[in-house]
Amino acid sequence: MRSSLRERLERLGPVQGVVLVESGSPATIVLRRGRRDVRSVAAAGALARRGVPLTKAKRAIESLDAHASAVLSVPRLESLPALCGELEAAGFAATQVRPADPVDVRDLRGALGLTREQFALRYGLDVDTVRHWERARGGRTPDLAALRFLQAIARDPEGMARLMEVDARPASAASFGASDRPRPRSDG
Amino acid sequence: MPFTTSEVEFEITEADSGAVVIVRISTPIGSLACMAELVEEDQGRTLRTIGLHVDDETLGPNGLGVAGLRDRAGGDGKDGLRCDRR
Repeated sequence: MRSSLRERLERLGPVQGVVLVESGSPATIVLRRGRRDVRSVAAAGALARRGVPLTKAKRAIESLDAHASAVLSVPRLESLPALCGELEAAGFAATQVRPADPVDVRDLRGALGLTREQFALRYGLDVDTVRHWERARGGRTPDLAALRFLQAIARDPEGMARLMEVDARPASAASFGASDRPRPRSDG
Repeated sequence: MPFTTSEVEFEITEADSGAVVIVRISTPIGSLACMAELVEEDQGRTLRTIGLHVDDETLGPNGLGVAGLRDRAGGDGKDGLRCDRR
């Protein structure tokens, strides 16, 4: 802040910094409006106490006027429930973006009952790359993008497999559903 | 109802090197928390607030009112009042 502006504010009252939470780890959160009447200042204060620059917190909150959600990097998250509680009291909802935890590719493939080649084909991967990921010694660790993809497969194997598929039918037929279920009958 | 200067307290919180601040205004009838980006204009004679948000902390809705808030702000340089609580 410019010193002249700070001097002007100090004439009004004491100017102090935000009291940060004692400790915490970096996290990424997704912010949404929980209800129509919100307390934006309280929400921005809760984020600022976790190390989010106040300007960024304000911009994220304001972006919710036009967008359903806003993603924010929180440098110092001590407890997700504590932050969620404060944001909920202010009329907002927050979730945390899943951390990039390691994925054991061999275990994942085994759980899906697929051979290495089937797994690679199903998810559009290179079979040699999968082999390297599975090698206990001297193998390669999936990079961040691959890790996120593997996490998504572990979470929703069928859904991710569907995303890899191209439907040759016309768009209207494809959107009707892969199983071609009959429409519910209207008796009205 | 106007308040005397001694009845109104301002507590300003600056969270980073940016120009956004939180100002808590305590009055005899309750307190408000405001957040805005502050810009000095007219060679420092005017303080402009951009994107002002106001939370009523202990005042009910319209407990102070826009007119009262404008009076307390002591100016008319605001670009608009963002109203979160309707």
